[in-house]
Amino acid sequence: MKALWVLIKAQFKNKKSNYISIFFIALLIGLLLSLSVSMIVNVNNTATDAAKASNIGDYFMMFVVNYVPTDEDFENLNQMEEIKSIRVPEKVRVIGEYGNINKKDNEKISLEKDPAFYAYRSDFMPFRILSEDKKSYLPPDQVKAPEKGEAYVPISFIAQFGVEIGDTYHLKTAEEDFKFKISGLVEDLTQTNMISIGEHNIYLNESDFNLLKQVSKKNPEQFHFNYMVYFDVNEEFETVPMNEMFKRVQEKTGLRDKAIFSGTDDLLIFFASIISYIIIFAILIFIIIMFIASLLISNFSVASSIEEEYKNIGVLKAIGLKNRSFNLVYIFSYISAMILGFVVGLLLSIPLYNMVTPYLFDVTSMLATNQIVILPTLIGFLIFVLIMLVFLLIQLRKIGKIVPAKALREGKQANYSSSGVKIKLSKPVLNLKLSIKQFTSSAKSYIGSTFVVAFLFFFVLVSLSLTTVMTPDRMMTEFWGFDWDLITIYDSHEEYEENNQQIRKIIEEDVEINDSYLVYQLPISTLDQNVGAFILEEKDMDQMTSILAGRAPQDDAEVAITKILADNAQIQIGDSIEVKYNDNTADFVVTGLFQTINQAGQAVTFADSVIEKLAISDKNLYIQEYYIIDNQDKGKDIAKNINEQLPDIEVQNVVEMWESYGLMAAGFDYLAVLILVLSIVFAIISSFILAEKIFSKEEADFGVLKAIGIKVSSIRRIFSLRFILIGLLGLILGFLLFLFTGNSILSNMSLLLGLSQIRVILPKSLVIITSLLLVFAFWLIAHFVSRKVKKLDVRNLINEI
Amino acid sequence: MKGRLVLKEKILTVNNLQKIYESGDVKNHVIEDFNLDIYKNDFTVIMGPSGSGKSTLLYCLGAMESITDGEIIFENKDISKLKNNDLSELRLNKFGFIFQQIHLVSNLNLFENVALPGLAGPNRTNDAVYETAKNLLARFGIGDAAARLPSQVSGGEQQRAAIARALINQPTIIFADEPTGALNQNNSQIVMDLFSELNNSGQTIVLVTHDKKAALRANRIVYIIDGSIVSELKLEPYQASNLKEREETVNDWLVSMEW
Repeated sequence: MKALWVLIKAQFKNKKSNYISIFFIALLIGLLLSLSVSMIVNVNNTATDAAKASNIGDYFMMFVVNYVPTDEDFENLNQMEEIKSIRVPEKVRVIGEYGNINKKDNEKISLEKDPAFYAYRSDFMPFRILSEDKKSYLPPDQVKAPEKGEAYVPISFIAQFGVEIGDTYHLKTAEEDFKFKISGLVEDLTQTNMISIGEHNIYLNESDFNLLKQVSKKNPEQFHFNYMVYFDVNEEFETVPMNEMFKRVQEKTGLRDKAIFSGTDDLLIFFASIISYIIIFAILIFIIIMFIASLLISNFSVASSIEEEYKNIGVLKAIGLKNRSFNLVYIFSYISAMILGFVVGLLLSIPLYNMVTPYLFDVTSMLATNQIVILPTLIGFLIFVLIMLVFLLIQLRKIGKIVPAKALREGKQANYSSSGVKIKLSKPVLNLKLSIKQFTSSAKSYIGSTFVVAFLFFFVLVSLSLTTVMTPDRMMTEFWGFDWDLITIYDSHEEYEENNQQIRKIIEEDVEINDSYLVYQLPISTLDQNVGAFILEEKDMDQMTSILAGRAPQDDAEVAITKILADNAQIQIGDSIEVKYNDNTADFVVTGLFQTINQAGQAVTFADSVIEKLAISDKNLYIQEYYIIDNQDKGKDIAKNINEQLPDIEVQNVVEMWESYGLMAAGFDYLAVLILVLSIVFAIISSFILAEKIFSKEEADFGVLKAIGIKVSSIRRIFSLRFILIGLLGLILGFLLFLFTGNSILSNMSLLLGLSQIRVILPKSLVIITSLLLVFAFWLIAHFVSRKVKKLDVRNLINEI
Repeated sequence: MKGRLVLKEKILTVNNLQKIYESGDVKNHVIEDFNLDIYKNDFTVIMGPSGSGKSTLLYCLGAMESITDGEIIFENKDISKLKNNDLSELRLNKFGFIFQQIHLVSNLNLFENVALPGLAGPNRTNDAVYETAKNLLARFGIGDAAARLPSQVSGGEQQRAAIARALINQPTIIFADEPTGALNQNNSQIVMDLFSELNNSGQTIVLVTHDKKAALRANRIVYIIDGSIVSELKLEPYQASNLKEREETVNDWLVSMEW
């Protein structure tokens, strides 16, 4: 035991720099792991607490604009054995007027979505209210509804519009004028920064809300009265999947037919936490990269240490030390350096997390606790330690192979594992040939680094391709399903006939209309679930831009369905599916598979002859006219012009739609830049480690080359050229990895959005620049490391002193 | 030849050479105020006790190590003042160096090791270099081992390849640091025979050794202690026939040096 301790102390003393590197990397891993795990757990817990505190229950539903559920609907819901309790808050949604925030300093900020007003009831759905110092939530006994003339707005308004208590929410329509002083900020899971259900929720005093209800009776076109439904399920049905639950709701009440969006508390919690997931994804990549670095260092230093101590190990073995003793020495010293670094990192994360928490509030609109989450962090670290252990044991097998007599006789282990590729040394490019020879002679030493470059480049490619996914044009053509720049939405055919010519004129005042076509939309049942149906005129079927397989439907016997639906129900092109609308049922042949971000991918498309076939009533159809204009950027102004002249018509434009996805898109962009920077930094670190190790291993050879008269510049070139080879090999491997897995990784990520396939587009110039930068970084560092050839005398290099 | 005055051509002159190793605050004066001339065609052996600075002196003379002070004049130039590239030129074309630990590049075979310095120069064609390398290997009796890696041949064969490498560019001087130090008796004999043969054909050699047998090959032995010359012995050129007499002379001289 004493002998082991002596050897361990010698290890720490002689390999100080290795252990310091491992210590600092483990410190960083501990710090980042603790921060990211704490962030994800705390944000998720806070979102779960928010769901519980506000009593949103297990499921929620919203209804189509022209359907207001009845008492009978609610009674039917209540009667379901699956449902434990329902809560049905009333709401008034104002169409076509967003309202403003009037700041205390008279600045006016326009909101970007229709407002939906609710009465705040602390006994019913008590959304948590932020305390005045924004550091906690008000205790339940202090929670009360706003006073008359006051309003509560979501916490996300702070980050989005800079709202403060005392500002005023002002809604002015042609006939009405409402002003509410903002007296509280509520935590509303449907209103976090990243998502919104398409409305801005404003919570009022009950009497103010009743006033709005009265206005909605007078002016139902603009002030839509409706309900939200939240319900809990009985314990024995908690495991029923979401789709199955809504299927049961539909079968037992018919209500789901009228719902336009629905989901579970888990879905809300997921979306409320999504920004932290994105941040953590970036941090996780960094942690993995750091971990690979520590593996690389330990692998190198163990290997080089065994090489350097080759003779000594032989001597120690000769005097009776067992392989197990050496293993213990190496494992103890590396793992203890790692654990020590991790513990320090964990401790440092405590004050740092406190500093990060306020920023977390800005991005999540929730007050996550500032406590470090220890146990999951420890489990994460334990996994890293175990992987490290496996790698150490693999390296340590070399000790078992050392034969004492041979070690004592030879004194030094060979630098190269083979004589390398058979290449004739000759002029010209003698340096390159020598470099290739040395590279291939110890190819094993470079495998790790080549894989590191490959993984780095793979991450870079994934992140760069993400930046090309979230662009307005691709959103429409590939993800929406139909191309458009502007959409006008009509409640009926009459309204369309009455207004569409005028709208066309308004549009043509600013831009040319390249194309326009009608799309009808309604909920429909097929494959045991409710889906959104798009109906296009037969002549416009070529507007389906996201067909993944097959073709668009052409007549009343055909249908195209999303790939997600097809995969779930195992439907193939050519199969027949039954479609139900009210009491009418008909079979359709599936002619094509497409994708759409609409209805979270639960959608089908028909030709317009289906309207007759299923006897679809005109009043149940949303009629939308899609316009493709020659200047997309003017869409926002045109929408405003239409709204001013025709306030009853709802207009959507792609620019604003894009802006609503903007934060996520910007998130992807930042993520890409972050990964890019990390990759370059890591390329520098890993190439430095590698170059240092390889150089010290082959130092004597460079001394020999210098001794026989090879110029310093040539020697440095011989050394650094091989790092270009490592870089290039890594890039090729990374690219192949991306080629084979990139599409499916991105497509799996896209399933979250309801898409089944993302076409990967790589920004060529960025990829080329990144590749060049990575290779250049590798070469430059190697060149820098080889400066010793210049500085040291031959005698120092060949260690003959 | 005896009694006839032969004017020898000085090809390397060392003036007031000083070499100090510094380690922190500690200064180790290895060579102090050292002066020496090396003559063309001479076989000069430098001897001395361990730590006397003889290897350091050889590395300094061979342009392998920088000096602290003084000058080393070769072809009218102070080589201690040369820049890296000029030093490389010097090592490539004018000096050949042979190490005690041989130092062949382990992933190159013997032929490649020998040819490498020839290929590194700009003036010779690939074929000319290959031809010279082949001839040298054959001359030194290792032609059959040309395609083998250093690890696949004996120490003696490795050292012969190292000598061939030193000769590939027909250097003016060959410096050898204990070239038999890592070899067995038989291989030492072969290597030293090679040095004698080279010297007989006009090659200037400066050799550092501990080995009295190796020293017998010289026509001039310089004995140094603490970095300074304490004595010098001049001998007739080596002939295998007068070995006994030569051995006695060298032995007596070394005894007087308290060897």
